[in-house]
Amino acid sequence: MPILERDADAREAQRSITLEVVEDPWEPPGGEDSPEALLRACADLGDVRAWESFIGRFNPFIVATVVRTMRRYGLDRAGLRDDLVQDVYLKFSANRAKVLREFQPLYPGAVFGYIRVIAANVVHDHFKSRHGKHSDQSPLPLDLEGPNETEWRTLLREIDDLLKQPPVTARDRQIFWLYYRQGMSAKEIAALAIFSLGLKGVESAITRLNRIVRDVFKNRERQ
Amino acid sequence: MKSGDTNGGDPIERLQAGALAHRRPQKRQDCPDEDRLRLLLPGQVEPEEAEKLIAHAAECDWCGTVLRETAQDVSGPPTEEEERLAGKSRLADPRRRRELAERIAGPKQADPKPWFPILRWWPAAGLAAAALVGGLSYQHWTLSPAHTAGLLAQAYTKQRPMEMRLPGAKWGRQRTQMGAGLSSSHEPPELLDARSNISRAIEAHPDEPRWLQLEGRADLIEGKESVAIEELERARSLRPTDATILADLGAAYYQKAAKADDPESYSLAYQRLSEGLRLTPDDPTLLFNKALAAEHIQTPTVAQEAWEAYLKLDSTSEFAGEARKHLGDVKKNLSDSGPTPTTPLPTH
Repeated sequence: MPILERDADAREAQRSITLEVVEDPWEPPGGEDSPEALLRACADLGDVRAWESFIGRFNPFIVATVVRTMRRYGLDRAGLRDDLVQDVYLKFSANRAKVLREFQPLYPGAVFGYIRVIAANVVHDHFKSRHGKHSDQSPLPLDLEGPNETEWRTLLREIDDLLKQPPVTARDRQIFWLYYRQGMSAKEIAALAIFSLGLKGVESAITRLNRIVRDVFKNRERQ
Repeated sequence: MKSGDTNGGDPIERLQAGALAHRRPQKRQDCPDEDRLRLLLPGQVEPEEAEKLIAHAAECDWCGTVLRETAQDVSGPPTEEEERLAGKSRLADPRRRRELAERIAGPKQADPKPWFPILRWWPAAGLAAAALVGGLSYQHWTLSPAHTAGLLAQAYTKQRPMEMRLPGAKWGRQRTQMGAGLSSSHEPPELLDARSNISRAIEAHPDEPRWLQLEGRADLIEGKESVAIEELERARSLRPTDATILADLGAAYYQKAAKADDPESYSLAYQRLSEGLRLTPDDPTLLFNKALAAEHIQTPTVAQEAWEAYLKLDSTSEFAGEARKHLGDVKKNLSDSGPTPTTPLPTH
């Protein structure tokens, strides 16, 4: 994706994202109505009303994730979709609700991300176990203008060597590669809890590294 | 100047263009478990492991793709279309939510404790193997035609939608008017589970007569006789000497006839049930259903004989109670109407 388009994506994401830098461990609200409290109530099992609320509250998110993940395998049938959604709830309750008991509420809204990742895992596991199938990878584009593969791989190594040197941190280097090699958007990278960064933090890291790489290569050309 | 610089131009742009053209997402031997990798997103992996996972994903095209796609699949609120699909999903119905919640958290959950003293003494390897084999066998069994037929039989018994019997189904009180079928909001969970198995199996084996038969049987329970007839006729064409298919088919024609008051369908029901009885003369389901069909093609003496034949085979069940009542009615009609039937029996 051209840089301008990606920047436009990033600006669009900036308008909608709410996750910001998380400095301190987050304490979930203790109210009975919070999603974290609902998760705790369901983790004990035995509470039918809590489970009913849980299903009512999270079902749209679970359905959305199941639909998106199924479509990666080229399928979207209502019967299978309903079955997989049900499988997700059974996964939550399996082994005395082990999945729910293991959840660590690290930041606001983490519970939604967690539940949706479990839902995605259930769908992927279904297709892998039943069909030995992996999701369709994006087709490789043809006739693209760009360096040949050998040149590109050499360029990767050179940039990577550069990013292994101070002042670039290991975290910044990972962000750079997730963005430029794996094609993740700044918003998607910001969604990775490990970085503890909001969208602005990710964009700032990318901009800084971008400048370092360009400056070094420009200097080499001059020499 | 190093070799990567040979083309000149902006290194970032070349990097991006090269990534688009040359990325090769291929799973490697050292790739981590993808389920763990996805848990990076909500931060549910211990820091040390998370560090290793993210370092790998940044450089591995396969795992980078997994991470990127998962980020897309689990972030952002549901779209309008997804909201609509959620609204139409099985669990949009509060009754279904209640059922699932009860299944998960209700008092019927088996308590594994009584088994602990036994399991504790099993050799660990044997236990693991047994669990694996048992788990796979159980999963295989739950998807089997036999289990699915059992689910349909339970659904029929719970909310018996018609007077006709279904192969393998126990007696149940008839819940709805004959021919009305079950409304979707009152389908028993067994029927939903059976439907799920059937749709998967039909997708994989569209011409398997056993699954076609079960699909037809499920439609029959739901009150969709015409669809059921098409499916069951197809199953019959593939397996013409299967008496259970003929029993289902006879029931489907009977239901169609009852809804539309269609003598031709009653006649077809009678024919199919008679064909089934020629193959398995002592089948109580076929005998019961044939007697019912005979009542509607104006052959009361045949109906009387059929009910009497049925009661010789089964004199104690609750179906026998229904048979006795029918026999009494037939005898009363015979005595009221006097001599013999005028309509000839259909030829087979």
